[in-house]
Amino acid sequence: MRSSLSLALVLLTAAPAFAQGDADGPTIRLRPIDEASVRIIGVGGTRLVAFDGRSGSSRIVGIPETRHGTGVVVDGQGLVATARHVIEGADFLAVIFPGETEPVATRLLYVDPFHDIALLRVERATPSFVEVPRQRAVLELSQRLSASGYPLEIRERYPAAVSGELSRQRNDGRLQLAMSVNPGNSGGPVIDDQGKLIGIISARGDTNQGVEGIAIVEQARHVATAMEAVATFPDGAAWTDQERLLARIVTALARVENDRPSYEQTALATIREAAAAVTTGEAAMMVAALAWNMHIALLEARRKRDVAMLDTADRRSAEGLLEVARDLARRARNRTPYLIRTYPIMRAITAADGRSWVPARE
Amino acid sequence: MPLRLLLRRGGWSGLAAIGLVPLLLACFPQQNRGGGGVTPAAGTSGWRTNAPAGTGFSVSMPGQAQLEYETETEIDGARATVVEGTVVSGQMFFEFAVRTVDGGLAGGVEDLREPNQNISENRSFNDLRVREERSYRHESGYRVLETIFDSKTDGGLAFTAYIRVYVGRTRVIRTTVALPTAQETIYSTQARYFFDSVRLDPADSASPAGNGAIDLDGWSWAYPPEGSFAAYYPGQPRYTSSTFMHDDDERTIHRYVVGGNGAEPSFVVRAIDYGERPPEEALETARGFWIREGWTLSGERPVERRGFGGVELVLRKDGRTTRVRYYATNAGLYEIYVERPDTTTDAVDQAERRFFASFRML
Repeated sequence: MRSSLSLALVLLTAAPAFAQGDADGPTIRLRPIDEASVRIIGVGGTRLVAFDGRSGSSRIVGIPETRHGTGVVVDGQGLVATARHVIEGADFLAVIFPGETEPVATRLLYVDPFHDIALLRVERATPSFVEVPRQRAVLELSQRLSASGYPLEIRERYPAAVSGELSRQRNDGRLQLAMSVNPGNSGGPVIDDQGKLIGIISARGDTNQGVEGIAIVEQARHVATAMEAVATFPDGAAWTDQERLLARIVTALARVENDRPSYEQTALATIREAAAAVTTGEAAMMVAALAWNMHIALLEARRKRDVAMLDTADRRSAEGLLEVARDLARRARNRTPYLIRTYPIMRAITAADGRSWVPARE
Repeated sequence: MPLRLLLRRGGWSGLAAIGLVPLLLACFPQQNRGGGGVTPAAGTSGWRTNAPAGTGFSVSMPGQAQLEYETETEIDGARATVVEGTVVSGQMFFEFAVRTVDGGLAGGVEDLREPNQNISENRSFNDLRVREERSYRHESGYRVLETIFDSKTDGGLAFTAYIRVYVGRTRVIRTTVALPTAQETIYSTQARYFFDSVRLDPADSASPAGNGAIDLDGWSWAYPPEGSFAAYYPGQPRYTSSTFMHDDDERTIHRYVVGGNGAEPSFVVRAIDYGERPPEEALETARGFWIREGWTLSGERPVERRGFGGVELVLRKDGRTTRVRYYATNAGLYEIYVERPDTTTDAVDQAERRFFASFRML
């Protein structure tokens, strides 16, 4: 029943991929490049955050070390190109298609050691994609170029367009554009006025140093080279439940506001499934961190200090979450003790021993 | 000021007290706070076993130590309980301190060296020198750092402190003997008896003891703080470091090795700090290094680990093969290699695969 409800909610909230807008606003058509632009979310560890809860008690949660950026679909079989730095340090990745909210299972296929390029594979056929040109592009200074991507707000469902012009080619071969891009645009496609892929956004001006309105782009020919390399790889293994569930865990874990996790019934169901499917220490700690955060979020939502103060149904949920978190964290600690560095929440969970552990104050 | 008060003020890092011990002992030459009533010259008859409850630790001392309990807070909020016991006998000072951390130790090597750092940074010591430092594994499985310090009191009295720090899964145990340097030989029997009598709970020795959790087959995880990496070694790696000059800056190379004696295969991780150098440039430099050393490149392919790009090289020279992987990050370059004879066994192949597969950048 719960999963049916989740599915219905997803279907209701997902708009058609070709247009966006609400009932009162304009209908905005997406360009082919926008339909091929996807959001990439990665998580590589958690940091500990303590805050004062609504019930007056101190809380400690594991806030994900999140990477988010943009990718562009480059073939019909789910191959996605992005910038290498978007996925560096990520233990797990998820991709969300334009207009959708549910992530798709994602694998890292290839990382270019010498250019800011990486290729991912998603578990979905991708009829909307852009061709990657095999030849060098012929461009002209001040030529108009456009980009698509998912800057800033992680909950926005549609890509944002931005345009600018070619400023120059840098000594390192990358292109410099006069274009205002923001965090989240990295890895996104840049096209010319014919819709041809020119490159992948790699960097932007450092606003801390007063540099604005600059985008640095890796040339599309490096994407083509990466695709040739990937074509020589043996076909990947079948997709697993762990991969599908972890894509949802990554997305749920990344959805925090002001370092506060939120309580979601759908994530609760996912955690239970994922707990049975994880096979690595990193996966165990991802699920454990989300389970821990969810139990804290439930206490906060109900303004209760301790699990014992919750009503019966909530208490059962919170105790179940704690049990999952503790079991997975212990397994991870035994098999992969180094994860205490990247997932320090491991210690808090194992120390809690089934209780809503409250950190001591200095 | 009473000795006990001095110790309490310092808590876990209260080794400042031992700097004043000889002075205090000079004032009260036959005081025995523990009440054992045994003079050093009388050897070790009449010593008593001190076994603070719940610590899994015991040690024989020339008297019954009075115990001091304290609760401290770790940097991540975890609670640590510290129990200390001291006995002063003649001109010898005996002390132990057991720190138990809820949820287990995170630091490892930091935990091991922390007492020494506290001593080194303490300004109440004059002319402090580390005479000797060595690290090894106790029969119980705990890691041990043994250090001998020489120093002087304000009054010019030279004294020596022998300190052994044992690191387990949840506990760090410090044992100390301090005595006037001039009488070191006379009292060596008592000092040795004290250290030999230490008994540790083996159940606490099997997990993250800084440089590794020991697996049943002798493999251990190493995740040293200097390198920000984790790797699973077929044994306990040895650590060395060296420096080199680059762009007028002194850079450090941290090296962790298992094996390496002649025909044995070597399992090596080197963490190379190269400052702000672009990863691409560092990879190019690394590639050229082996060629200059006379190795022949017989294979090369791109690799990735946790989203960081790199290259794998296979090199041959004088009947030996080295498979080396480089991963470049903005923080440094990681070099992971296995060097072995060309003629080798399946077991070495398997160990090599396991070693490479385990490597993580944290």
